[in-house]
Amino acid sequence: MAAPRCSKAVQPDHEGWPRRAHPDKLDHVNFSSLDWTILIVYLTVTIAIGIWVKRYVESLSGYLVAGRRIKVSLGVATFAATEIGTITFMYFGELGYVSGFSCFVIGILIMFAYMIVGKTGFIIVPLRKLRVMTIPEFYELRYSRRVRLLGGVLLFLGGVLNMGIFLKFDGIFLSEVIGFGPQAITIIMFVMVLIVVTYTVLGGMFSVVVTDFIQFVVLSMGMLVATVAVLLQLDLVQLSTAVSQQYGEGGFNPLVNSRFGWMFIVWIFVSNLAAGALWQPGTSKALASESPEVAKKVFFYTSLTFAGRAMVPMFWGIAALALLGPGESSTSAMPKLLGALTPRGFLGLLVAGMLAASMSTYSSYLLAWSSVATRDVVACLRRNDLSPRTQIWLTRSFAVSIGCFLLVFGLWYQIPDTAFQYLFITGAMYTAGALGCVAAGIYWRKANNAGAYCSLTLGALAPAGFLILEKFPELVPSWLAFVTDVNVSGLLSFVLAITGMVMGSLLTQKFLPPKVLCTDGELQDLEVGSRSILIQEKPKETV
Amino acid sequence: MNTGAIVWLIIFCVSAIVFFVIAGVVAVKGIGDLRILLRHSRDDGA
Repeated sequence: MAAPRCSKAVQPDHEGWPRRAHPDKLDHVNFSSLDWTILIVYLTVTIAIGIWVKRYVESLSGYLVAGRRIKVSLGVATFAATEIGTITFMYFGELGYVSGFSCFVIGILIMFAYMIVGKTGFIIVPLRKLRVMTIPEFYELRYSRRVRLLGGVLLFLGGVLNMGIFLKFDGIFLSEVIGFGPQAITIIMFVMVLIVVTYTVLGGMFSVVVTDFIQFVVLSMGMLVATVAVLLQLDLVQLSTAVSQQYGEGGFNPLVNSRFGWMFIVWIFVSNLAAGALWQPGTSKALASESPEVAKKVFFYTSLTFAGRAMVPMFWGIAALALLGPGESSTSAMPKLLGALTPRGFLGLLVAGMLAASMSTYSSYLLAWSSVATRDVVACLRRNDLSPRTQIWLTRSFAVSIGCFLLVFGLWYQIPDTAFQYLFITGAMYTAGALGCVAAGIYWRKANNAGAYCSLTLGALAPAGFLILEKFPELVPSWLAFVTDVNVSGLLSFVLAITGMVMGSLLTQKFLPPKVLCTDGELQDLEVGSRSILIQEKPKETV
Repeated sequence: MNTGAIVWLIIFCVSAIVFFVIAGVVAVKGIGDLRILLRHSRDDGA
């Protein structure tokens, strides 16, 4: 198909070019001294505040869930900041570049999925009432300690693999926007992980919440600056023409786009419903909320931002297609465009915003996965309970180890297809089984240990099969070829997990009677490790 | 302009405005929440 007509703004030797917009200059350093000043001041202030907040961490609940004192506005800021990283801009921007307007449907699906969770309190409210700190803790309450261990291992593996490509994409983004080129990616990755690990390890959730708030404000300003810069250079008719010429009807209609279709739409919606309720970094914001009602409000208001969160970077990606043409690398086209169009001084604000986005995501994810490794894997393997002091020390050690892993994995691993699909398929390794276990555990009395094992194992099977088999397509027999389709594997993981839970539970009801927690209106003491918790539920409600 | 593009651009505008409005409101009100969070933590002896 013919290349779209480039905007006048990217044609060489045009007098109206912005300072960095000339294609021949895209390899040069774009940063001015003003940009550097903004960036250095921002980084210094953020790190200082992140470390200063350490003084508020005196207990395990303070470290992991900020003492459960998060109110609505702060909760929305920290949740939105967690869910917006440079990686978010990169994969959404990439989708805009390779699929045109039709990818906008993803933003709408994500918004509605999280809105349902926020409006109904699906899963998050019962979990908040149970006062758990990690999701696998629920497995022990409802099923057994071994189910918690399996759930913890899968959550940790899925989460860390999911996070594995963040650093590399952030490195690509920053090196392209600043103008350093690909040779600077490794150094940028190292500096970023060093900064984030430092304040996450020291300050825990208090640092995450406080720095998330600052980062949300800065990243919002950065997004606004970038969007205005793109709109000032863009002719909307050319945008439509570029997409039409490059992708035809598929650029506007997700149902006829070869990357999407009905199966993709159903998978993304179900996947986001599960991730909204069960993705530890996000759910931890509900668990840290002041009350279950506050948790619902935090999820609902944050969901309203999620369509914009997806569509703004997608729009930048489409603009890159229109202004730079289809010949660029799909990964680096959008950051290259932003580096070229954003005016002097504002570029520093944009990069500070992107760094803010990344740092807030990393810190939340590092804390989430390291707390799961400590409380749901190591603690479950020991007969004696770990002291809170040891748990904090272990959590910090895991955060450092995950940081090292991110550096190595990011440099080595080549992602299949688009980054967006990689992130959702690795996420499905855990969320599919977790949706079966937690949703059935809360809302279905017959859910038992056998169902939980089947759900967790089968839910992880299809995504793991995809990640392994797509590396060796020549070895895959034809009857198993469907597993190498990312959309099929993703949706299949949820079907298998739910089927596993239903069949596993129904077939073993006589041998493994389900554990039902709190069926009347009385207060009950429940043992979770060495911790005694109190829960109160409405009459006849199963928790 | 393509009709599909017009529809998506309108949806994009609405979504972007909602995002930036909520960001603005949260930025202002969040400062108060942040003060309360840190003050309570200090009062609790942290």
